[in-house]
Amino acid sequence: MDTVIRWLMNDYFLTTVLVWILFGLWFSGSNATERARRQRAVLSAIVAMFLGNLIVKALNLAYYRYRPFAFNEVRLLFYYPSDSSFPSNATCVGFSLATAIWFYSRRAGAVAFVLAFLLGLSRIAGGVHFPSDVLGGAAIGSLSAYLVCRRAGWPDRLWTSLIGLLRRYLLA
Amino acid sequence: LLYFVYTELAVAYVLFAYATALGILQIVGTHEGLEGLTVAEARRARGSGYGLGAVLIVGATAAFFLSQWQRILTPGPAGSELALLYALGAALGVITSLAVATARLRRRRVHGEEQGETVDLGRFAALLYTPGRTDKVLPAVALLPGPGAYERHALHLLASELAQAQVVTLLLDLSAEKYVYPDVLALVPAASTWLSKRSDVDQSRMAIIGYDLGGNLAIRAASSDRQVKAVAALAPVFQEPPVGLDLMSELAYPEAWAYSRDTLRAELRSELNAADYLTRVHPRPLLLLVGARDRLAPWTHPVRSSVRDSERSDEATDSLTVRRVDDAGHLDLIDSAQTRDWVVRWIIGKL
Repeated sequence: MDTVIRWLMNDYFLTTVLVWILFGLWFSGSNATERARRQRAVLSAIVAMFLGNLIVKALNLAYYRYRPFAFNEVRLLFYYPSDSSFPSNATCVGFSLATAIWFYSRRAGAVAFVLAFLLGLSRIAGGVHFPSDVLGGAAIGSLSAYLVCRRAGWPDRLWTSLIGLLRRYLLA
Repeated sequence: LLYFVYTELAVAYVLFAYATALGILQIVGTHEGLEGLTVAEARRARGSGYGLGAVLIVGATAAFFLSQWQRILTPGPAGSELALLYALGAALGVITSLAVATARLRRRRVHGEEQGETVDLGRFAALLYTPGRTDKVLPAVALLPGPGAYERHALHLLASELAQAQVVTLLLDLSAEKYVYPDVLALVPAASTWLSKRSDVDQSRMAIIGYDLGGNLAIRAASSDRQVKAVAALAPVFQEPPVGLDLMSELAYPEAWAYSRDTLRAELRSELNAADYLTRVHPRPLLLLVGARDRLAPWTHPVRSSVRDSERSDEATDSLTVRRVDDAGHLDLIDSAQTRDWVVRWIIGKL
């Protein structure tokens, strides 16, 4: 079980699988309209991830929370992270990508949510986060995606121009 | 300026990214039928595409995690560094897939030996396919390729089969430079005049078959040339070509690049204006043969409305035949012997 948790919680596996979804979405779609919608999802997800990271960094500067293993008896399955426990950056990344994808593609979004959930859960089970850290990360990630995909008008306009440009080079 | 705790880990991650990106491209490219993006044939060998993609993803994942397991559980590159490494690996994966697909598609399009007897039509050249020595007076067909080289091989096969079916067949052989409006309008009259002078040709049984923009030219020429008794337009182009990845449904990246920037082609399509001339072929039989998977010149609304106009006329109803070929695209529309046979039978039936 520990191996499974280590497999899920490390920095390389689930985050990379989420990137696979983005990469696959970019080239998928049965026609140009559908493909453009999915490409908007990819671009929005990347911006949402950056926004979520910025918020997490800002919170880290304002508030430091010790990791669960600092003062509790926890069986740590990972290396000792030194940054603030709250909010979970990895979960924030997972949920920002999943929520942004969900706004454009329900099926791919659902898969991404499962992966993001597993990422957060494994971080708790592995002893590097409190549940509230993961909930905070998930909330910040989802909020970032919501702001980028639903509240801000400029990304969609920018994506239309960018996708049009990339199409001329047969990249979109 | 990247800071890696283990260089070997970073290199392994790039390789992991490279192989998995390549694998994802095979699966998605095969699913979407993007021939120019896949290592294996996306339409005819779907199993190979999915299989190769799955092997690459699973194999690379297993190799990376098994070889780097201890390092993975220690502090490594930051998220932004990992993103850069993945982007590098993925870019290399895309380049590899495009390069292999280009080589594969080029190899597939190596043309066989062209038979036919060379004929000089003055400003134009042509290849003549005849059924051999016969005392009979036979029907004749002029074949018009488009300005590209892609469909010529298929038309050579069609010409051979028409000749075998006792049809004198003249395959116009044009370089792309000569495919210029309005010069190209002289092509069909030159061909029909040359054919009608032959003693073995029945002047009252002459038809034209055009492929790609050759189909547009066939429609346009037949609208004013009354010697033409039947017309078949194979994959005619009624709309602007698509942009972006759709072009790679049948073309390799360099071909798609050239195709999307071919202004002469776009001008010719516009000047020939074949959609407006569809009804003027009436009451002579007109066949529009299109591939159900054609994304280079998809069969869409503006053409349908024009066809509907012609269908409103009672007389026109019998003259127009629209046939969609399942699982065929633009460039491989008549690659199937069955489809070519159907076209041969249709044209002979109308003459």
